[in-house]
Amino acid sequence: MRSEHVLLLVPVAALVFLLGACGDYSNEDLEFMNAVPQSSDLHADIPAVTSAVELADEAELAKQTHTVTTTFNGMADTLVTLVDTVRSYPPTSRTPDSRTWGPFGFDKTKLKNLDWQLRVIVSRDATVADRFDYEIDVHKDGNADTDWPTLVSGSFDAGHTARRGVGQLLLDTAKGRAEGLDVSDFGALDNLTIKYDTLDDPLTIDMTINDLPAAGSPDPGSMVVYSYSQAATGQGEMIFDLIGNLIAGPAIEDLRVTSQWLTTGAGRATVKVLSGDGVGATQTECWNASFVATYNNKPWSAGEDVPASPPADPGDLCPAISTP
Amino acid sequence: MSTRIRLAAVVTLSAAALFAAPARADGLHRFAVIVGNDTGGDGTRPLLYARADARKVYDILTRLGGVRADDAQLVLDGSAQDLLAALAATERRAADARTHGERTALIFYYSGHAKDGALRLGDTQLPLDSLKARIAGSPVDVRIAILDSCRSGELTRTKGSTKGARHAPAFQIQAEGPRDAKGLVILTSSSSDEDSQESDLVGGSYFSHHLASGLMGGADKSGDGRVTLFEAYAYAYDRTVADTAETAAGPQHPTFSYDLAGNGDLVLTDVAARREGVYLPREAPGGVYYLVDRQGFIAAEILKGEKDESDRRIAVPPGRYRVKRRLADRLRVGDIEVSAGQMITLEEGHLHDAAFSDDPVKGAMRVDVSRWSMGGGLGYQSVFDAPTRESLFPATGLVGLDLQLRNFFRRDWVWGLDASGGGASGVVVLQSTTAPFHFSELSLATSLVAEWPHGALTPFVGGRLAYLFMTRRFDGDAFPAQYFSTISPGIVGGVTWHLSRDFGVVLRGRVHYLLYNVDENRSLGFWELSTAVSYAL
Repeated sequence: MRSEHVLLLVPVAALVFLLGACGDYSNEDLEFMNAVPQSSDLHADIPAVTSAVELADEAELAKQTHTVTTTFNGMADTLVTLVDTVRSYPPTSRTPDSRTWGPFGFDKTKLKNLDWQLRVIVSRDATVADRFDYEIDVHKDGNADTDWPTLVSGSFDAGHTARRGVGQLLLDTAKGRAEGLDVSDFGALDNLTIKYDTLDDPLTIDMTINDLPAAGSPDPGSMVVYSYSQAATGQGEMIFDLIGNLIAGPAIEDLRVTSQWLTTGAGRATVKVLSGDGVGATQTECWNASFVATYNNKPWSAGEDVPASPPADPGDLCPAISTP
Repeated sequence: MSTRIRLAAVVTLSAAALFAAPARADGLHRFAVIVGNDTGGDGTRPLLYARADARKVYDILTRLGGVRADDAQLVLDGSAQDLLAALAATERRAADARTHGERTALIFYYSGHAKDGALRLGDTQLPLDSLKARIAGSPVDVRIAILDSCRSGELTRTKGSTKGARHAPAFQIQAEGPRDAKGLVILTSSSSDEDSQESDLVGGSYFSHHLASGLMGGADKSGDGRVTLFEAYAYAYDRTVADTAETAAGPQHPTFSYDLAGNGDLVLTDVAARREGVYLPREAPGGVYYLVDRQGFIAAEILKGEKDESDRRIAVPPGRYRVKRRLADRLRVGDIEVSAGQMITLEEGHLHDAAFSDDPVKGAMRVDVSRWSMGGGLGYQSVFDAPTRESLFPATGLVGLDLQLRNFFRRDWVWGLDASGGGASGVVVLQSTTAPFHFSELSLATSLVAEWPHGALTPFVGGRLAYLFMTRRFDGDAFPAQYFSTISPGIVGGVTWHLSRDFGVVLRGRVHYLLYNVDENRSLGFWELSTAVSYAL
């Protein structure tokens, strides 16, 4: 070989070797990404009202269930959006037991928190096998480098099956608010906790929402607890408590609504005042696949009863639904 | 810069005339055994052009020498047994011809190694004495043996005989009728104590090159369009001695031995009957005319005297040539194209002056000898490690293109560039879910391999450096797309099957090292198998 060609090839070969290997091609990254919930994990499914049904004709508690479900899914989406970064971008840095995304600046178009940064850390829990912990931390420019209060925290236990696993997460807007972070997008939300189990049948999602007290009100802030479950057959159940001064009077009421439905849309719901004014009162309502009431026994408003004198035992007027 | 010579005279022959065998007009049924072997076993260095010389002589004898293709045996890189088998087969055909009353001639040509009194054909040997006796005993009327090998002059040394080796032109041939000729003639490329030399410029050995040029018309001093055995030898002798006089190995002297009853001369080629090639009028300036082929090799080298009394015909095969004549202070060059059945008249006016630096042979030679080729094909790639193959880098079909440059760094070394791409589907099994994905790969690589041409098959092996760019996209965009790029060294080996001069089929295998360093540092390996069709540009 000509000597000049050899001399040329040597530095070229050295250069290309120095370039080395690079990229984000990683199965481990996927495990860490998979630890955070996605929209389908935290979504309550209830048959939708079709256009053939006049909304005005929809049974009262069916409508309430739809409304609550919409709220439920909206809150869940709020959290998913926060952690979605993990599923949308490769991690910024890696250690054998963790992945970090960020720090990133906040969305500048919203003109909020322009001097804040956030990061997402997903780590493998060293104490519990197959458990991943994750958190969204925020940092104000100028604060100590170690000052990264946690806005969102969560954990996930991988299930080793085709279904996902068991997890929980907490959005602590109170802490962000205390640190000076502008969390006005969350309204009066004080904190939001979600626990989910997509591993076992039925799938369950429990959501607890704590709001701040109303301005100037001596009462504590309201708390709403949602418990959603869905069987593999598709039938579902939503239990939610409305806690607050919901009925005129001095007492704080706790109303528990238990709503159940079939995949056809037909369902039934009961409302029971657990505490506070009118404690013990119970309403039972059933509806068909068109969400039209077939039975409504509402002791405190007899004019809304269906039929006019509803029997104590609804019998065939209500669908037979077992607890998922 | 070059000037294309216009066709001053074009003679188109009928197909019948073109494919006639003019040299058989003397009534001899001619047979030929032509042997070329680049290798000579232990203690020898591979030759570069022995097979090429054999091919050239085979082409001339079958095209101009009256030897039918059926009657010619070409043995390339064969063993001593192959040589003897070819000789035996030819002798059987010749004996059969004799039983039908035909007069017969056997032309034996060998280009290759000879050492210690024996031809060296690869790892086999054939003693010169044995070969000489075998040819002498062949059942033909005229036997002509031409040996182009080191110390081949040993074959013409005959103890106790007054008929021995001679150096041309120190002999006279009585021009009796060739029909009377019977016996044995031996031509050797060098004397018994000389090496026979090859030249990159002529793309062959000096002796075979000049012998071939002579047979194509360069040796036709009489201008009758027929080259006799003695004309060919005398021409080859003069030109070989002249060309080798200044070489490091020293001058090389071809030898000649004859034992022909009747002492008749033999016409070896009939360039006039062929009427195809380049026509050099008697008034053309004297000097050495070089006809350089497209690969930069000198296809024919003709010495024309200033006062030649006859025209010259150079029966080169159809093709495009660059003509060069060297003057004391410059070159005269021009391009010609010889078509089948056409005799192109070379006129001085169509040559132009050129500096020595523009010599189509020297200087440009290396570039011309180097040859580009390109190819395309299909392949399959797989990582050795099964878990990695199943979840990280799935086995992949590939489509590829490659570009290769031969003989640039060194003869039979091939520098290549190749690009390939492919894709496959895979599934990552996570702890709590599965993630189907589509995998894509692009590879850009350079390689340097050594080839060992061996007849129609050319095995090769070498090194390769590839840049790999791999991506995967997950179904439903469940996860962001991922990529990985790296430099991957490896080895490559395979074989090329030459379907023709320009086309070949390549079967290739590669083994590569792959450093994966995203999750952890892992040394992986993968293999590739591919097949491609190559075309020489």
